[in-house]
Amino acid sequence: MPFAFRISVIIFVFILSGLGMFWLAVGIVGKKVRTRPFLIYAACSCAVYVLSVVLSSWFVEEEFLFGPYFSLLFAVIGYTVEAAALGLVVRKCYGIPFVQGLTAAMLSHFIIYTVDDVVSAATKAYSPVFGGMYLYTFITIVLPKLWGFFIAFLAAYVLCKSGFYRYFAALFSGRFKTVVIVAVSWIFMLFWTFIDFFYPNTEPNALYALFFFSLITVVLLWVQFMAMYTAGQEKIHVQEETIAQQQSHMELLEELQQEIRAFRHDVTNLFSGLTLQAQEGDLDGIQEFMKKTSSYFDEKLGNEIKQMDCLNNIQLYPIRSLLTTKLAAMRQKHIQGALEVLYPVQEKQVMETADFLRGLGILIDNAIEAVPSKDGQIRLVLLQEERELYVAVVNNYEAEPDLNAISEKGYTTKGAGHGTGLSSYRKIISRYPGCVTRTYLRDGFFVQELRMPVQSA
Amino acid sequence: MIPVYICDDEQVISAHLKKIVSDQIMILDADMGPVRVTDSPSELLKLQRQDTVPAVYFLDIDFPGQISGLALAQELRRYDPRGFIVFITAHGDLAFETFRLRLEALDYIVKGDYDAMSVRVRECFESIQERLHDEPSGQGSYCTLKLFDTVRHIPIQDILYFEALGYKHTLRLHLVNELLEFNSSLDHFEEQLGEGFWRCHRGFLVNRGHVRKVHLKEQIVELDTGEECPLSRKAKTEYRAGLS
Repeated sequence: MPFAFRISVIIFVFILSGLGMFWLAVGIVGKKVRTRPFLIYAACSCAVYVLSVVLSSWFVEEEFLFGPYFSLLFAVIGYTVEAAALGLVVRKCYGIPFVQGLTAAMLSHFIIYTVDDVVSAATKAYSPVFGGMYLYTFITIVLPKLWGFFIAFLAAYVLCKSGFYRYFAALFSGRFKTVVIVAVSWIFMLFWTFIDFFYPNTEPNALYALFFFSLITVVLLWVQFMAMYTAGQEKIHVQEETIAQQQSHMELLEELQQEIRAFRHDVTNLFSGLTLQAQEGDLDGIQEFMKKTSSYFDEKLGNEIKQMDCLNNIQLYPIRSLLTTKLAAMRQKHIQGALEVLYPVQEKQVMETADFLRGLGILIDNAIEAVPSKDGQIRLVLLQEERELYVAVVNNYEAEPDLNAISEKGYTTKGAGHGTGLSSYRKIISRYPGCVTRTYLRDGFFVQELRMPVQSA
Repeated sequence: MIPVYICDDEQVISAHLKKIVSDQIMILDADMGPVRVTDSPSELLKLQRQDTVPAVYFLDIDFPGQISGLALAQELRRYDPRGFIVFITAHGDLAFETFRLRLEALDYIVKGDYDAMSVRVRECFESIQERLHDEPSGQGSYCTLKLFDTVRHIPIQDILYFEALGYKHTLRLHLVNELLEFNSSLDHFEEQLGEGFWRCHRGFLVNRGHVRKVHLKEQIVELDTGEECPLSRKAKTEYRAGLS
């Protein structure tokens, strides 16, 4: 065969399998394929391969080079690095966490190589031997890759349409789960390498093909099942949380009722006194009385009622329950918490509610940590405007926060273990273009503002 | 002279307030006036344009059937970003934190007792005088920043440096006692701010006025706040060329 033909076949195969892997991995994480990330990934994986070939031809002895151990080692390292590269590209360009990208890459690697292996085995076994090498090459090398790409494309389409990513992301909710998932996908990725290593002389036939296609199906079903199971667990967890939050809301209501009862008692007493004064015609006394009692109602019940009104203004229920819980936590810690929501807040912001919830939670937790142990004050403000949703968390502090240090990773005034919050907050915000954050000190208060654009109708 | 406006739909209150305000201006011998009273927001907006800014505004929080105090204040702010806004309210439970953060409102006054109102107005004027005194008198240059539909004028001397973050077109603006993150590009600000600022690194634009030292060997630009920005090799060569 002429050299040019070989080269073009190699390049073609390389691009096709790379594109297939990229397409499928991006499909698994539920994003759209774009050209630039793919080119970056292609460059990375080319570099990995060229580098590994050059390195191995330099440093490895000849007889070892073509032995089974070397190909095992080569595949294990090469594939892992390639998957990691894809994971990194997905993280950089799509903002998906690295482990998820990595797992997606490994799974798509497995699927594509399975298809490729099975189809090429089948074509090798069943294709007639042609006189010319071109057609043979086409059928046994190019065709399987085309198939692999086709399957990847199809799978990516189906996964995207079915919203698979929601479940997929739920798989990574715990550290243990993440490790298991990554390990299992890694083994799947190297499945063919291991098969080749341990059973080098397997003869392909129709049964064999059937077996491996069912294997793909089983793996996909397994992932789907695992994902749905975890998502279900997650849902139960969320519901439990909601119940807890509603309980604290109930407590607030009960407190209010108690206070109203006490208030009624007071008012009855006061008025009987007033009636007496009126009968006696004591005008000065009555004026004095009015002065004293005009703010009485506000002092007694104003705060609770105001807070309730503000909470009712929030129509994003997860946010409402978060605020209820946090306000209850503040009461428990004797922190003076106040909430101001002037206008109804609807689900119009660009940020997904789950991310908004996490971000706001981080800000409030930080505020609770930062307030002085005596006379802590926290004020929360949500303001829905025409084009933006404005959120502010304001707190007083014990030690003045160093704004310059805050911009560094892992800043905290509370020693090691704290302070991961702010960097994950920043990570969340960075995923949404158009958001503005502002952090400043004023009159003894530390203010954290977040302004989110509102979806245009 | 700093004009003073009172806007309230209750005649009794505004008349009351006008007297208090005029008295306090006399007592404090403040450079303020004239005191204008109106009961309609639209008229206030018209009046505002006819006189100088900054001005002092006493606004009722809720006008029945008309624009809210918040919207009115936002409208006033647009023309007078440095003015002083004081809200008048019938009940003590207004959402003042919102007004303070969103509009930089100065204070609020609860309608009712004459003496209490006088004290509050006096406190407002004192704090206004203090702020005016602290502000540099010369019209220093400002950096304008449009975020959503508000424009912020940041005094140049408050800016330490701009930093480009790894994320897509996100800038972090380091001010004295403030951090601000938003979507924009360094090139834009380099162009807007001109000579006073120095692109010491691809991702950094520092205010020359705040540079304390340039450490050529460590490739670091030290600011007078103790913060440090990296110095790129390209900027270093240019800097050296500029010195010689």
